[in-house]
Amino acid sequence: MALLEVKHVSVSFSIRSSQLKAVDNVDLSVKSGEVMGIVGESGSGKSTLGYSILKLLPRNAAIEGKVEYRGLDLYTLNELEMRKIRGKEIAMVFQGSMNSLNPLIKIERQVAEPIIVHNRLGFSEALSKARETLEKVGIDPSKGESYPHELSGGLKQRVAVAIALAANPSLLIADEPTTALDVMTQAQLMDLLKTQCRQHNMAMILISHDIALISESCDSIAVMYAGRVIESGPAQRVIHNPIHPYTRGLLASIPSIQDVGKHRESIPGDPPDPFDLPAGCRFRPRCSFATEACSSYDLASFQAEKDHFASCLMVRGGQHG
Amino acid sequence: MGMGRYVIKRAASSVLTFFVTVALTFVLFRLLPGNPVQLLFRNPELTQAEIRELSTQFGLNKPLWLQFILYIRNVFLGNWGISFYYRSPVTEVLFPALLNSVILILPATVLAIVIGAGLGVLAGWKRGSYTDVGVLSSSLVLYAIPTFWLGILLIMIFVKVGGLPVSGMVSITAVNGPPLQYLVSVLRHMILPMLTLTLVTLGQFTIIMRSSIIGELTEDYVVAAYSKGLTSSWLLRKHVVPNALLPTISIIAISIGTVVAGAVLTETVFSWPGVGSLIYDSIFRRDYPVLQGAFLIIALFVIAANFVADIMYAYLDPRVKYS
Amino acid sequence: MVLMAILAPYISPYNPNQIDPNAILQGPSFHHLLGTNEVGQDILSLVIWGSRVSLLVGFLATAVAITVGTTIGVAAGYFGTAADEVLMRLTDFFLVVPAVVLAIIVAALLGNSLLNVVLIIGLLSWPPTARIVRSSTLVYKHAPFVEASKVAGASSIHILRTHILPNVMPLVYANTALTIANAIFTQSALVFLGVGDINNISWGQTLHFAYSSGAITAGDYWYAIPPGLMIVLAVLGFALAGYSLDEAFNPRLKGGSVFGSA
Repeated sequence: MALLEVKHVSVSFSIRSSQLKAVDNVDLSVKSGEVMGIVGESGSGKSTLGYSILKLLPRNAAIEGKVEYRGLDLYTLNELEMRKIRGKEIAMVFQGSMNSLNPLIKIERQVAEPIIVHNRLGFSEALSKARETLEKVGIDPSKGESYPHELSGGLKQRVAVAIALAANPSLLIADEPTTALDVMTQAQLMDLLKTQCRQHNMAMILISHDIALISESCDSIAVMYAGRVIESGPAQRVIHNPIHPYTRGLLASIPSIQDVGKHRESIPGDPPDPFDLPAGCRFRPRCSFATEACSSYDLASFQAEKDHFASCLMVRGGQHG
Repeated sequence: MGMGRYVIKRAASSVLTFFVTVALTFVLFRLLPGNPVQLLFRNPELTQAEIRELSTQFGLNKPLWLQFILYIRNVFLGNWGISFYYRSPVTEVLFPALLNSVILILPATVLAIVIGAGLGVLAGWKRGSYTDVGVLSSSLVLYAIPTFWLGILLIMIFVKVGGLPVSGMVSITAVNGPPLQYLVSVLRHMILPMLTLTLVTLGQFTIIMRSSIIGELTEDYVVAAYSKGLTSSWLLRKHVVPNALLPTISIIAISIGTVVAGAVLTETVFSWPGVGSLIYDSIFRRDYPVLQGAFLIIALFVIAANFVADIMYAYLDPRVKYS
Repeated sequence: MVLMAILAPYISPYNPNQIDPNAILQGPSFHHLLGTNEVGQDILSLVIWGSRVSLLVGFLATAVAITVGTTIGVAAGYFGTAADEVLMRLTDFFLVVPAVVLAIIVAALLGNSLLNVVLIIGLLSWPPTARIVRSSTLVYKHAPFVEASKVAGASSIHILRTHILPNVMPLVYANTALTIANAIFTQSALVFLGVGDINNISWGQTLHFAYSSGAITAGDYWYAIPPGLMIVLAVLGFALAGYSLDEAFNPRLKGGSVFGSA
């Protein structure tokens, strides 16, 4: 059984009497211990999707669909039950942890909070467990008394990881965890995350705009465009055998050492205005393969190979998914 | 820079501010048309000997710059002049009044800050709810009510229904009565002025706290803390409220000036024998040394409050690098 | 309310200075809708005429405060370093000094005059404007279009006039309404205490006489409630206008929080 099943989830924001659909009918499935990457441009709805799993959206957001964690629909839970999921079963690492830590509280106390809440430990026990967790993510426990502003960006992000790991969750949602970091620190942090997943058989949803990072780190990949998953499948297949023209464009834009000096492909045009989406395939205006039929296409996804789906008429030869 | 040096630096700057205040009073009371020093010689209440004494004390025959230096020296030595009306040193006149003012202002301010902060947290947390709309609109009304008018309304009500004294600090029968009776009488006299002062300052504290809470709720760390599975009350108590309180410390310190202004008006309306009433009476008695002294003491009080707030802020916020 | 002040001669039922010895301290009646005071003046007429001085002082004092505040703020922000240090010290000083108390004393020293009250309130209310203008000027000082203008050889005066002031002014306008509210407030307090401008009819003046004549302790509610209510309405009106302008001009306040209370 899958650890997490996202079924037909849509998220819309009401902004000044109009509706903005940030996530549109998305399906995902994450197995225990699996690392899944969600990749897309900014505004594609990938972060909103991540937040919607734990119901961490602002009040003007409306969610539809189902999110099943170990068979339990999270959207039917009340606040009290939901709190037992947050941090304990599913934890989150946020984009830019410089802002996701409380500036006025010592880091060891911030790591101890989920332990106190979920493991029902006393303050001093929780604190010593927090120091262990800090050590696990490579921070000297003697630094536990530091305040966030005394640490470098990389260390702060490690603190954020420690907070997420503190109550031993089964699923980690990491939203652009390395975006603000330099290349070396980025690599170290990704190693840390992957090691922790392996050691604790923890699944991870890695959200990033960086297809290179995703393709290096994930078991499976979902590509999002304008609120929809337009291609998904095992990492190897999606990378080596991309179907959707958008995925192909993303992959072609990855720089490599061999390519230095060569012209690299980029995708022409901009993502569509979320208030004014094109009819049919949303990628149609930027797609060089677009045909007449694409404008009346119902956005169904087709199965190309086992577990490999894409929402493009070019795979119509394959079975309907 | 260490905490010690920071305190010294802030203290130096506070002393400088007070120095400028003293210079300002010098200008006000000497250089303005119809200045009190000239009036001093026309004051029929004073004897020749007193005029001579005051003339030497102020050095009125000396050049202006020397007068200024003498004046500064006198202020810092505590020679604040002789009251025209009471014929005793200004400091002696001021001291009991100051004590009475503090008795009134301190509990009223503490009450206003505590209730205001509480209501502000409630309104900010429930932003957009009926509670919020109710709290915010009553705060705005309280903010718009003139202190003296609220006092007038309360006096009118309690003159009609009775039950509480509306003027003075202690009733005549209790002045020479046993200590307990005296205390009860003072407390009963205190209720209405304290209520007035609390209410008029409450609104602004509520508004300040509410916007600070709302600002804090938009911070990323709040969502992050919430994603840990914390309860709302934990989130509020350990994260949002402490962090929102911090920036309000300096805003509250600045608004101490308005609290003092409110106190002056409250004391006048209720004839509470504090510095405010003293100012009011001295205006009509043309008792300029007392006016000058009262202003200096109020300025000193407000500057000290700001100094304490600065130090508190630095102590509580680990990010302040004492620079 | 401004309309009421302008139309005062036409809408007020009596000449406010008219004394009627036969109608002293009467309660509301058909002849005198809001009653009369201790010398037989009509309260409604006093309140209507009072709006003139109260609003006039509010506007004029604010004009003084905004002019001084904007000049000091722009100068501190644009010229920087030494000028900034000195001017901001001065601003901090006036922020800390208890302005209302200072106003009471200065007004008492200078004597009764409308102009004095305007100047005193105006010269004590500029610090918040100066602060806002300074920080906004600092933002625009390094904006690309200002840098470009500098490279092109424009003079400081030209840059200030055509680039900085137009961008800074919207924030000043939002602050104006709040400053007017405060000025009306301070004016009424001064007049109530009997300093400043006691000879012209204003809301504060009516309350001053209501208090000093003993009408309050006698329970003559019709005398004390209307002028106070007018002050509350005026202050509230300008304060609300200020807040909504601020909300419109201050981008940071826009939008909801990412997190909703549970």
